[in-house]
Amino acid sequence: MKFVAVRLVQLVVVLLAATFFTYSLTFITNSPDDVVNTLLQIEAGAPERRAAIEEDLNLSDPLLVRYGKWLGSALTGDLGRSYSTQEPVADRIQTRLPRTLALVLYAQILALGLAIPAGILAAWRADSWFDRGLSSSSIGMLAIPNYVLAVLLVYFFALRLGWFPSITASDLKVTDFKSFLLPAASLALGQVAVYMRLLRTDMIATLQEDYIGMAKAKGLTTRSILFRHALRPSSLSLVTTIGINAGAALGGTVIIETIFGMPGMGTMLVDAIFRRDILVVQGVVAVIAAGFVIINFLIDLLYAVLDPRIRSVRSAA
Amino acid sequence: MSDLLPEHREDRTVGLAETGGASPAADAPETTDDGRSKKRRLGVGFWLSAVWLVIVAALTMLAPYLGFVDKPGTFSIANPTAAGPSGAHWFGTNKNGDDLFSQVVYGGRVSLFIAFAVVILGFISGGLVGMIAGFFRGRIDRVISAIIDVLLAFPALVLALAMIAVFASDGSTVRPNMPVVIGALSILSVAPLARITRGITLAFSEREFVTAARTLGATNGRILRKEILPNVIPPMAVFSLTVIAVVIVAEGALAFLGLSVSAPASTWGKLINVGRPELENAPHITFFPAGVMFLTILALNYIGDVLQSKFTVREGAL
Amino acid sequence: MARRRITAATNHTDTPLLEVEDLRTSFRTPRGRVRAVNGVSLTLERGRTLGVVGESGSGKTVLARSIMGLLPRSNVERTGTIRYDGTDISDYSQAEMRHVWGPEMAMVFQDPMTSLNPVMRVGRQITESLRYHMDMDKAEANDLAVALLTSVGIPEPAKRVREYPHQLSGGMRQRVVIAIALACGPKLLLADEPTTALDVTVQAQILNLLDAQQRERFMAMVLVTHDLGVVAGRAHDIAVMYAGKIVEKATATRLFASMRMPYTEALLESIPKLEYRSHTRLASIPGRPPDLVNPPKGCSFAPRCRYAQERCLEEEPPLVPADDPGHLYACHFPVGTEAGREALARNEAEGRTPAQDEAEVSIVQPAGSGA
Repeated sequence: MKFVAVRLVQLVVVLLAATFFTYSLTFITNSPDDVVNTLLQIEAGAPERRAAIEEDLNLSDPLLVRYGKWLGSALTGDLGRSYSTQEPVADRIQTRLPRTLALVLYAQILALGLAIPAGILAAWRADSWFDRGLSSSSIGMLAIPNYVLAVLLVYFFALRLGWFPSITASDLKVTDFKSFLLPAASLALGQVAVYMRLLRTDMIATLQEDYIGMAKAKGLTTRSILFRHALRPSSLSLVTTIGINAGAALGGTVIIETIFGMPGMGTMLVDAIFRRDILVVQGVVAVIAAGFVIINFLIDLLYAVLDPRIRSVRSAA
Repeated sequence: MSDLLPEHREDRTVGLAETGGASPAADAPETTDDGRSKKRRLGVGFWLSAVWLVIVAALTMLAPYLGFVDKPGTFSIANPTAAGPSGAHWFGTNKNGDDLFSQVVYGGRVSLFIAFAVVILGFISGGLVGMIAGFFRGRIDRVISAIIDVLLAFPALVLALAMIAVFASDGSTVRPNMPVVIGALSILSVAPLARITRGITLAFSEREFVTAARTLGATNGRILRKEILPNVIPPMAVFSLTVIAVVIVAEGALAFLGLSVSAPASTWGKLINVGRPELENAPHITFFPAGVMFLTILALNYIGDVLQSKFTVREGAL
Repeated sequence: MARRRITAATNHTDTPLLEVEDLRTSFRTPRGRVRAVNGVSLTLERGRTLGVVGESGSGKTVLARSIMGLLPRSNVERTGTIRYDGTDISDYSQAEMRHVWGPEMAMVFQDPMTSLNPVMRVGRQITESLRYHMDMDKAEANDLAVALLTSVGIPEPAKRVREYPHQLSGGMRQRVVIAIALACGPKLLLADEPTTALDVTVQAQILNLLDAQQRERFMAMVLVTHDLGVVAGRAHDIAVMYAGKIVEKATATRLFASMRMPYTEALLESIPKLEYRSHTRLASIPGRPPDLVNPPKGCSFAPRCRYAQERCLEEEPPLVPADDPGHLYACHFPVGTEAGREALARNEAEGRTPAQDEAEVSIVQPAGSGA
């Protein structure tokens, strides 16, 4: 329990640090006046708006206070208004977030769907042609940047074969699997290599354990032994890595969304940065950081589910 | 860049989701059939990679002096269309008729320059921080480590975007230039590099020659300089190969977002991106720079990994 | 793959349940070929217990696994014949053996800490076997699992069934392992050092449990151990193994009463007895087990044997029957015979055996010194 609490604190600190850092970034290089001028320019608004903008940004208060006020309203769900579109930031995020989450989710599903069987098979037949071939190709898989892969996939599957769209619709629905496939695949390949090798290493170790020999001596089928006996204990490091990855993947979606023109958080962020739309940037950063916290916390819970020994340790602690 | 860099081999290998990978974690099978340790022989892959890297390095460094490489900005007026590979143009030409091969070479100059700059800056700053944390330990270490952990936890690309956008804007447009790009990437590399250096320093601080030096009355500064530093540098130098690969990828990612160095400078990432509109008709414009980038990353990763496993063995023997 | 069930040859009481002929198992290693089991033959009837005794490295564990067929797939070679209930199973593939493991033959491993899957509930580890081999449904299997746990002496079995291995003590875990092994009613049980990893107080309980189960189910049992004390009251026959071969085999009573092989004698002597005065030096067998890649010429025990003579270094003693029925031994100068006594006397007079050089510490007590 204590361990979990410490982790939570750590992650909340991350949240605060990230949002504060982004918030202050803009004001470090530009004086408040500059900021207002810039925003006015973007808005192409009348000088009277100046006062309104200043009021909005609470520019008269010191930095920390301003941040505090932003944080306060953020916690109630009000992330301010976008300067370029005048929409509430929270609304925009609400529309776009599901798509980004879907992308990350599909990518992980694809990656695991390939990596788990491959890893198990490689461990079961360690040092076979299959295993060695897989090891060699995983070096290659890790060397392709996901954006290069995206371009390749677009070329072959979208342009040449026409099976999938190269650009997604602007009202992309989460269930539009066809549109999500190439983007998810681009993100997934590098992960496949990492996951597969992790699982393989752990499985090889697990398969040496006595209880696997015992399961064999019970006369159980290979499939049963591999999937029901060996997989669970071997999946611990895999699960942790998925957690770390999923959190980091939120950033990777930025590029992929841009390449495929997907209307998600990533494109919104890039857009907002170019347009100096501070509050949007803030909102997105906050959501991403919050996502981190939640995902990491869930991973900890999943750990306990997978390994009942940890449950006892936790409750004893 | 936490998630871009692989953690020290002893730790879990962190995923690469963000800017598209380049973490090696490659683990060629450790023993051959007859039980001999493969680690002792460098193998075909190693030398192939080395040859490739030498070629790339030579071409990019000597580019201005090489006759067959067109300087940037030379237009081939005779043929302003994209054409595939031919005898005259090994990689073909781009939309403007420029020789693609030359473009890739010059692009490499910039990409590699950025990568080296980031690595050097990152190591100086991150390395220093890491060494201090690992050597002095105690409260200093706890504070530094806590900060590093927080920094590592956040998606690097987003921070990079934010930084570049902020520091490279004049008025309402964002025009990144070389120093800004290098700066942003360097800042992001500090945390992971500090973490690695700290680990290595920790391992070495325990060793007897440090204690010996101390009993001879050496000051901390002297120990750091004369005992620790010379031992930290080799593994870090090996590790820097991996870092270079990561930075090349990261810069490419920025280029795709339009946030890398501005024209007329070109990088591999930019070249790949520029070729995208023509992908259907003239795929070679994208494929060649992509291929060169891929092979370079592959070579760097492979060599880095092979060398790294040799170093880890020695440490493990401690 | 068709299920090849073991069909009984004729009536059970005639054919021995297990017949092993010239079993040899070797491992290919970088150093060479390790002959772990080097020509073992034995038979076992239903309802009888065979104790296999030897030091580590004698090949006893490999023997047990070879009989079961639980050897690694690569770099291992097993030759010889194994007949189970009249059927030759020597060439059975893994798929075919899968129907033998569980319902016909079962094995109890040494370390209960590692034999049980740590992330699977105890009950499930029993029921999966039942459901696979005996086609039971979930409820039936669960009931039977509870009954099995009761029969191995676990209190509150209904509660234990839902627990994980780490929640049980070492002794209880081994009981669970035994329950799993017995679940499908095997006719042959192989127990590889079942008590070595347990507390002394628990050891007797487990051995008694195995004993009781064996009698109840009329099983044949092979009890592998390094401890002669373990097999003393519990095995009908005992086979002593050394360097991959059986060097003596007899019924338990005859073995202890009139052993022939010096190795057996040395094993017996190394068991500390209650009658010893305090500070009595424990007798141990000097030297180390032989290299199984390049076994020495002649008798493998010769370098460590008190009775060793020149002949022992040259000629490997064959396994020959003794006067009493069913007693086999392999020795040129056996214990309790004229030849043996003379050999020992010669060595003691010399102060060393022909197997030792001048420089080595002598194995024999020179004549005249106390015990």
